[in-house]
Amino acid sequence: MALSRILRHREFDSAGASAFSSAVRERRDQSFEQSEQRIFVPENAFSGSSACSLSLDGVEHRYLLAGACDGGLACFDVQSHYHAQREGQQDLHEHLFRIQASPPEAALPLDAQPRHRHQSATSSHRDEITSIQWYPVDTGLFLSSSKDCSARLWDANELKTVCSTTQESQINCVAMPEAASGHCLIALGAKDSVVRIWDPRSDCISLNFAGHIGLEVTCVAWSTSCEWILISGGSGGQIRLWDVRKANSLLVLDQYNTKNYSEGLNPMPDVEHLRQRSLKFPSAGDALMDRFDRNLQEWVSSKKLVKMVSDSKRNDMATAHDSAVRMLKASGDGLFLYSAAARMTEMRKWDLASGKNTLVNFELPASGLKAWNAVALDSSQNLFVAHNKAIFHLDTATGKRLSKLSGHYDRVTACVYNPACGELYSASLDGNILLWEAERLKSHGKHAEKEDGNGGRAQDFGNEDDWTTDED
Amino acid sequence: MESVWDVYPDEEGGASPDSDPPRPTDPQERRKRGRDGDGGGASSSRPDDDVSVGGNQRGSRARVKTAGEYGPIAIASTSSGLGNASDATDLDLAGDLPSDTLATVLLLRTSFPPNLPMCPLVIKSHIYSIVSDRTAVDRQLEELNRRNKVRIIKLSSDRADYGVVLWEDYSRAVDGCKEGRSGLEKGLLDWFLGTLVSQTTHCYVDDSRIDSELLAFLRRRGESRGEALKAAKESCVTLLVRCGLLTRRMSMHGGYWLSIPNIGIFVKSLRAGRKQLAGIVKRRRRCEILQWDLEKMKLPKKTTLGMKYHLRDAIGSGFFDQIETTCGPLLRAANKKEKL
Repeated sequence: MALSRILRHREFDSAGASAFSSAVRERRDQSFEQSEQRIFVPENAFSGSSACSLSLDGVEHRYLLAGACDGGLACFDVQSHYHAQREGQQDLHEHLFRIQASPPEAALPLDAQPRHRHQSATSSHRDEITSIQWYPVDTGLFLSSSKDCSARLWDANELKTVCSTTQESQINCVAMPEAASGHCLIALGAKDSVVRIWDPRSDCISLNFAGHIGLEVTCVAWSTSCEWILISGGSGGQIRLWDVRKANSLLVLDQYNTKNYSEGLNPMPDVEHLRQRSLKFPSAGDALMDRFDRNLQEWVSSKKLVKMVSDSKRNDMATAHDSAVRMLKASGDGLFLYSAAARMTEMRKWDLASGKNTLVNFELPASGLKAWNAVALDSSQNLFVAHNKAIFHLDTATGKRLSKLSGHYDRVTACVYNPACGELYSASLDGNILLWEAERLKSHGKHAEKEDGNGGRAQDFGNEDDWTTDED
Repeated sequence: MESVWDVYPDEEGGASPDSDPPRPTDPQERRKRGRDGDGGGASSSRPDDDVSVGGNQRGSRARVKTAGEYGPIAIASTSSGLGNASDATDLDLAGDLPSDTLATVLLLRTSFPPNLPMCPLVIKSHIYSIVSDRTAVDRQLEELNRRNKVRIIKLSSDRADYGVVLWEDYSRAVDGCKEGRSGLEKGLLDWFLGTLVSQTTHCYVDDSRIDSELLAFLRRRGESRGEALKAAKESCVTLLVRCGLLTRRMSMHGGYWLSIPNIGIFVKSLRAGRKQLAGIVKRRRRCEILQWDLEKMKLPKKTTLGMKYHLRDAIGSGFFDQIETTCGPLLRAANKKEKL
């Protein structure tokens, strides 16, 4: 549809303001391209290492936090090009701050080693950062976990560890709830089959949830609609839903529990109704408004789900995938869950309200998924999944592959969508952080100079090549 | 009649028209086969009423082995077919329009290799290689399974493979198990098909469900309570497993997979053929080969299924990336390290 028609449609339609904005956003997201004008410079921040996890703050959508393979941390300002002095044609996004990795423990002299591991509050991570997340409410705090068995909560102003926890095994994933107003619990998934809840206020592990099949918990995520619901995925292919107020798991997702599409291919009427209602809230202006949407919250914890709990008792050994879960992502309205497994890249979309497999077949390559949790979801129907060296842009409703974003030279380890600017950031093991922007809104509108673009890479920019491939 | 099977010529010598599977007996089925046979092979003839769903099939070609035959075929409408077929009570093709998936299953069923002693079975990856909208395939298969038009069978290969069997074929296979059985055992098989399987919406049966259903069945038959009942229950499950209609689900889940008799031969040759195909491609430089070249090759060892069958399977399950080149499609192993 042409933009003018959408605009005219808005005048007569009562679908709400965010329906229009989501339509525009969806048109924009169809055409992602690697940015040639704006470039991240992670080389100075990470000194040779490469970024392996990213997080964008949820308040201003401005500060991009990156964790490196050696344990360093850095933060980039993604909007600095608005007031930066121009250097040639390109805007370089330098890091705002960085926290260098501590040297490995064995390298230190004996007397310098901390006597207890949790005394090392002043130092930083020693090994690869496995996950990183901003505090959802403001940018004063962020959370990181690492393969050195510790998870840390950082003060973003002082750049110091506020509190930390150390486990026996390396931590695969940490998550803070985005929808929480009544608690500040942090979920940890480590290399054993127990999901841990860390309470930073008392600085202890307050809850343990056992029951996963398999050796480790690979992914944890909080529900985006109900603050008490935690989702965890294990290496046995199991995905469990927990209510942190209860001891047993709420639901075990079963891949053979499929949705009945006898009324057609539309989602269930009540789900569709709820989705329409959630669209009517202003989404960008008051970000917390729709997250605290009480209706959804009530509905998710309503009797329907309670009834299913009793059914699921029987089905405690059900699996969602045949191999280890590598990715969990709840959609912004809390209605759907996307999960993917390591082997054969089988990806599924779950209806969280009923715990059923919606049988969407995502067009991803069949070779195994290696990256952990490298997925980004925008506010409408676009899903970005990193697979090997490329990022696949998928339609969440049909699973169709819309495009393939290739530009990295090595495995993509993380990708993040910026809902404010409509941009995508991706990190890779080749040391780059790339910025993908919609073709329609290339920054500064410099389409004319596009032809002499000397590659979008920071490396190319740093040392101008003096050799040429021109034959003439 | 034998020209139906020309699609998979018995190049490895294992196939002979005499070692056929049980021929269909009802006249409608025979009519369909005969019609396909007139055209000289299913992939080139494709009678109109079979496949006229929204133009989702390519036009018939003179060259059977052209490149691109395996490529995805765009379908115009994904959901229209299903709604139309909802009031169709039987699979008479002259009647209602089948969905895309059902049409593909019917088409592929005719080209099942004849030299296997089992009922015709279509692998899901073959359907994917013809219908491009995989979500629609999954959902329509689920729907057909719920309405007992087809049965989905989990294949115990090393990947998540599923086979699709038409309900008619499935019930014929269950009937085939009745030979030489006593009256009680025949009753059990009837119950299995009529009650247990037709009320199962998926490809497995829970332990608890098979227990409760069997107990109800045995009580109705007048078995006594207590130990005798338990023993009778055990023997019933043993009989079904021995017939090959159930296999134990090998994990901590418990329960049983639905199965069909003699499926092991098929799965074994499928796995062996896949391994050989992977071997051919991996020996090539950069793990890539032109589709034309590959189609002309033979699998090194004697296999039952033939090169074309495995090629279609590998393309449909995404183990090759298809790259269009000026000399036909090029196949590249999607993952060079992983086992095919």
